[in-house]
Amino acid sequence: MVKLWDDLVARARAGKGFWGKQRALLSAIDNFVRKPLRVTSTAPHIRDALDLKRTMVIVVVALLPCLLFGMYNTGRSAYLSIGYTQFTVAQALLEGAVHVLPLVLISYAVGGLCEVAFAQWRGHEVAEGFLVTGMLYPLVCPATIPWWMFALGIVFGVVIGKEVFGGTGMNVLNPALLARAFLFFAYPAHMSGNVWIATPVVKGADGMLQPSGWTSIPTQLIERFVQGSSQAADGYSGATALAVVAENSPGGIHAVTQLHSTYSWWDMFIGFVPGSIGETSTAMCLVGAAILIVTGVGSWRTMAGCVVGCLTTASLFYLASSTNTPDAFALPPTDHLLLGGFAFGAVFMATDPVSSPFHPMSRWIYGFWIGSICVLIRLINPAYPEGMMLAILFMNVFSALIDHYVVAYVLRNRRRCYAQK
Amino acid sequence: MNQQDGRLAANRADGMNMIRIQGGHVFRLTATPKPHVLQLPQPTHVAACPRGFTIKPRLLVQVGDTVACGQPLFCDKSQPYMQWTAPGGGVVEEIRFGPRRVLEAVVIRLPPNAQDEQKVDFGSVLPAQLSSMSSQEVCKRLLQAGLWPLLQHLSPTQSYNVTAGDSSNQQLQEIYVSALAGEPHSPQPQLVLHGQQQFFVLGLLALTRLCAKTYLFTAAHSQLDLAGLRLPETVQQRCIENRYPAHHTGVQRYYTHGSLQGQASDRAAGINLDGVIRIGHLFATGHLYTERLYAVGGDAAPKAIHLRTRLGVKLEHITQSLNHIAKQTTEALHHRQQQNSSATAPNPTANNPPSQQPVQQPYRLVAGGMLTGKQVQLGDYLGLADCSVQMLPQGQQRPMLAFLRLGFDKLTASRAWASALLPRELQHTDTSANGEERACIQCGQCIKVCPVQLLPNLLLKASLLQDTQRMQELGIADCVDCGLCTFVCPSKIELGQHIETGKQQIAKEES
Repeated sequence: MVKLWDDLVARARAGKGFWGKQRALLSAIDNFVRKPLRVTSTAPHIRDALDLKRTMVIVVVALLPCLLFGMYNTGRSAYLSIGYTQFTVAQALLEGAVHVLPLVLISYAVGGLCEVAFAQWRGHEVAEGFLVTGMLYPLVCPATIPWWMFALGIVFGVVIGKEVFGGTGMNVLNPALLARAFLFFAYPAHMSGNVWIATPVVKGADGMLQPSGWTSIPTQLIERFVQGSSQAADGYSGATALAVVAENSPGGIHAVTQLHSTYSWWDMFIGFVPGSIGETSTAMCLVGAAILIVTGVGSWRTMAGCVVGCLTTASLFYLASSTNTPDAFALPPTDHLLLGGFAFGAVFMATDPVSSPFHPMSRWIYGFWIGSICVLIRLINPAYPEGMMLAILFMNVFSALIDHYVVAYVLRNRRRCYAQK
Repeated sequence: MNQQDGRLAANRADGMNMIRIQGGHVFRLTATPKPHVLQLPQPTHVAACPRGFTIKPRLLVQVGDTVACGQPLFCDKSQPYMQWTAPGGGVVEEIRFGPRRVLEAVVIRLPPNAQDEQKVDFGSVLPAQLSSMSSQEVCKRLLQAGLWPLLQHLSPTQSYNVTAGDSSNQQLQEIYVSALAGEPHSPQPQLVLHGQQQFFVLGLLALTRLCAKTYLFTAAHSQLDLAGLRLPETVQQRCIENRYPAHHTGVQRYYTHGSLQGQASDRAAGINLDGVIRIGHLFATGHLYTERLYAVGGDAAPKAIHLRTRLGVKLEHITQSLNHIAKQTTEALHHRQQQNSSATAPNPTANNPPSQQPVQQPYRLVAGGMLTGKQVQLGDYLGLADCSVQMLPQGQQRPMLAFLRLGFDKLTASRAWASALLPRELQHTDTSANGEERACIQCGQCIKVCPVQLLPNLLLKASLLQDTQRMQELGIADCVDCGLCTFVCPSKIELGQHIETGKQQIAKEES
């Protein structure tokens, strides 16, 4: 069996005939499942056991808590949206899985197909970076996104975000974030507003609620809800916490008070709030951050820089807030860390080594500006309640510039150090 | 005072003058040579090889010539005074050429009787006489005896493998003597020094005649005892943290003086313990010291041990002796087992003949260290630069889904495997690259381990662009070729090779 497979892969790698056309795919599967057969050719004759596959798999493992909680939260809000609170954890997870796992599969299948096609076309190997992109992307999308749109996004992210630059390692922007940004600007209706709850009912043409497919929630529950409470069409709000703050709520209630009455601090920390699948839970992001930092895969400097930048900028606004300023200015700085995509972005998106600067000192600067710009967009720009995605993409563009000046500084010191002797 | 300067000062002020190294890595490997020295029988052939030196050799002898130990065999074409001498007296049996007629070895057949071996007498010198010799005299004698190549040039513009040039017109300013174990599985300094103390002191004295400043670097917490020795007063002793590559004299120079960048006239050289002892022998006895302590290690070695044998011996001589010893010990073990079992109860399995020889797995022979050494074959000879032999198993296993394991047995400088939790555990090694080559993802691992604080990822890019000016700005002159950046790279990029290409290009442009 193993021999047969070896033979097949050897034929594919020779690059001729039918199997030659499947080279990228077969070779990728072979090197993924088994340790690659490559020995050193020159000194150093021994090599570190760490390779990109391991690095990427650690990130995927760090993402699993966010994925699991995202599934639970999706299922939980689906049940709550029909006014049913007696669900079990397993039920909620199942309902979440029904919505989330297809997205994960689509992301890996469609994005992976693009990767393999480009690898075959260019004569490259399939790079492992896609393991992470394929997992990050569904976690930053709402659970209600149409599948075709979702697939289009990942194609854009992989092809325009990465492959046209030359593949993993060459991209300027984070492919997963770029895919989301594409959807955000191309289909704003599906990416903002009341899109966060994967409710099993829709409002029909006659204004009445109807059950809509693709759910694991028992039909009788939905039927009971549809028949019993047609007045509760918007009974369960789907507004994200940041949207609550941004829309200066009517009735003279201060937006921050409104927020704190809607979602408790604990809800925001654990993640029982509407939002993209993976980003709501700051607690799970902290678990992921711990995994990334302990294994040394994610840069703690970038993460710390984000937190410092966010807290500093938010504190300035907080101190400047008065009755004349928008309500959102008065949002306590610590709330900024819990809300929206901040934690997820700081831990998983900003630390992407390819699109962030490489020098330890630059990573502090890079992180600081991400946190700072995120708060600026949230508070200054009324059109966007959330700013993390744009802040990271913005700083991705600047990362090479930061490195340029930091390296110039470091080299100047290196020279001066000698001259003084 | 800038940050880097402050750090260097702080390093020196740190208690007991121990110099701390930024970056580097502490290897903890299995099959480390045990501290026993085994004397091998006299070999039939020895050879001089230019391996490890970047020279263009010109032959001075022919096949069939009779040479005495210490007689020049070949020299560098551009610097004819730099010569390599015969490690033993006898008849030149073979002159070996590699591809494109690159000289590989000049093989000398030794006479069957050790007393018949002829030796060039360079004249012995008393310590008192030596201390009044001029630097030119010392230099001339070292060049004549072919020991000058032992001094590695630490010049900014040239590759580190280039030997220090003619010192008659430009005197060396500094010499760094490294008494550290160095790479994994290299000879332990206390064993190298054992019984050679007087020659070491004399060698140091000779070196102090050559230059203004001599530094002697020892490892912190080393077993090397220099307390009883009367070292020359001008030798400055320094203690350095024992992380790879603290043994490298280029690293020692960096932590003494900082970056070489922009400084062209600095003339420094480095030498190891073995080299100093050889120089001491030359002055004390007037003859070349013909033996050397080799360390043999690696997971494929039948026995990881130190050996004393002739300098320039054939690798087969070493491996055969090791196999012989390993066989003897297994047989002795088996014999003892048999005796034990027959004494207690008749064991049917014990009657099997001792045929379970260790299965010979494919392995790679490396002359020198496993990070900087050269791959060689059994028929090759060890050169003047090689102090150890590595026998590394070829990494041909292909375990399934190995990247999902915790990895308590992985050799890594990162924390991405569970072995990072067991810093005392010894790790196995083989020649597997442990992954496919990928594009650089700017992970920063190479920056973290670089012992001289370079940015290897930028050096790689500058080298690919052939931008020699940028490479020099980045401080390529400080690179000591330790191989750590290539070792840690998760994208498995041959950083060291690219940087070496860059150095060669710079050397070509400047010559």
